[in-house]
Amino acid sequence: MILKEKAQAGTFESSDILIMVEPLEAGAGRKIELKSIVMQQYGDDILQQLHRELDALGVQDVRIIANDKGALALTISARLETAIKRSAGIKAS
Amino acid sequence: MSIETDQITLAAIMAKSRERRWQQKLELAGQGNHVISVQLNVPGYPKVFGRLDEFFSLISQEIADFFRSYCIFLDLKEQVCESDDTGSMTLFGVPADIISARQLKVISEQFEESHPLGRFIDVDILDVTGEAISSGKLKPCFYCQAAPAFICRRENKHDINVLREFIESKVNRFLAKRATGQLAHTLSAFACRALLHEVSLTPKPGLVTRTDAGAHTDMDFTTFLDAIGSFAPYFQDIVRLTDQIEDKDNSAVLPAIRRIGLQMEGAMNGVTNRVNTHKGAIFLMALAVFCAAKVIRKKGIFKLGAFVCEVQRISIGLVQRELCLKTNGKSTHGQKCFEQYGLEGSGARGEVEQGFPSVVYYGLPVIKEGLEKLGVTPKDEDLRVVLVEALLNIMTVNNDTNVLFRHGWEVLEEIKRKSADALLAWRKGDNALYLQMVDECRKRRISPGGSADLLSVSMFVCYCDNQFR
Repeated sequence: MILKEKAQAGTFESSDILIMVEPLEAGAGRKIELKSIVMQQYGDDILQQLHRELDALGVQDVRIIANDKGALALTISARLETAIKRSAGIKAS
Repeated sequence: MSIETDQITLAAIMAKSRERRWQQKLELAGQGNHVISVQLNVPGYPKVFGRLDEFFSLISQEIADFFRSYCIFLDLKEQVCESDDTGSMTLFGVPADIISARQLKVISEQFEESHPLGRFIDVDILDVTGEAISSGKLKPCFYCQAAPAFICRRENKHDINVLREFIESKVNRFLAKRATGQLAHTLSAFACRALLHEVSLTPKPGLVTRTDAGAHTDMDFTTFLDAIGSFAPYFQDIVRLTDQIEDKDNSAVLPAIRRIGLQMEGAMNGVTNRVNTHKGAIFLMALAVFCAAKVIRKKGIFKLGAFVCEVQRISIGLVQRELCLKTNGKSTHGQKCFEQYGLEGSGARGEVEQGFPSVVYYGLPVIKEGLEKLGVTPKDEDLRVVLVEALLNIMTVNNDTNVLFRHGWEVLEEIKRKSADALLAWRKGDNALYLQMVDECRKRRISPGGSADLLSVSMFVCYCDNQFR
């Protein structure tokens, strides 16, 4: 998937996550900044999940700023997918 | 749609709704406000079910009042307010120049901690830049209290339906308790108001009024005010009794009311130096308050017929039990009267066992009609015209044991006859006969206290009828 612009999805509400996406030039790789209220307990899990889903979406060069307020895995997945698709200019069908 | 896509659709609806609400918050913040957002902590879907909607509007008001107690005025009318299946939300904007967001957070935390259901309520503070102010505290799971909430949530520790039932039962209990508390305040105020109006009615034949003590030498207006002031908390206890007593447990009801009645007598004796200003009134009013509370809680409104039934139901056999049979204690005036005059002298007990006929047919109709004409804030003089008519109407039929016990049958009949004459004249606007009676009762020291008690009960019933219709 080719990212075109900055985009975000999610909120700062508790049990949610705010994900901001910024395209990077090809070959720059993934730069992920994760902040989470449950960093100690689940930080690694969330990071792994983000990588897995970026793999699945075919996104290599991207800067991600994720601010997590204790979101569940499926919420994180939905917010990430939405942010990426918004960045790629894909509208909901 | 399969269950799975169903779930995904729901999740999408929720995710979208959250984003939209967050935008609303940012918009409010953008106008130079700190934002106070009120939401409920409800897992699963729909987010609003049972009585949660009612609970939520109540909470929004409580929060507005809570902040107001710290001199921060939140206008409930200018709030952003939303409620649908994806949850309820109330937003208040507080101009950023009057207080810091951190200070607002401290107050909101105090609210959450002091409220019995504070863990179901999320009061979030966003500062004027849209940044959420965090307390940095990890809240425990409201269900198990053992682990931090985020762990139970993330690890799916509790079944969602169990959690929802848990919330619903807590909320229902909270609402029921609150309703009882409010009813207790209202009915206690009505009872005291009725007693105050009764004693303030001036002039009255032989009774204590605001200007003189009538036939009495050991009590006056002040004594009455002192006594009535001491009753207020106990009337509330009587309303709460409706929560504690099982519906079928008829025989236990009267003793339970009586135990509170005895406390009231104790309070009265304490402030009046053991002068009995209200013994009969306590008995009648306590019973009326209990039965009114019972009816209002059961039906949601006050129904006179149901009220009478309730009075009769809990006092059935009272005359037989307490007047026909000997008791081990000292006889009260009522008991002595009954021994001497039989059923005609059954007094307050006879009155309640028949379901307050003097109130329902003689006192209440006059007061109801009169108050309807006078409106909510009647003038002293106008109210007097109505209340004197009601008192006289009661006195024409009531076998007042206060009169009977001290003066005998003939005097009682004479008073009833004179009341009827005075009533006819009073209705025509002629007060001469009434004033003559007032004078005579004072001189002969005749005090129709039982009729005065029934007048207060009539007023109380009228207040209930007007309020809970």
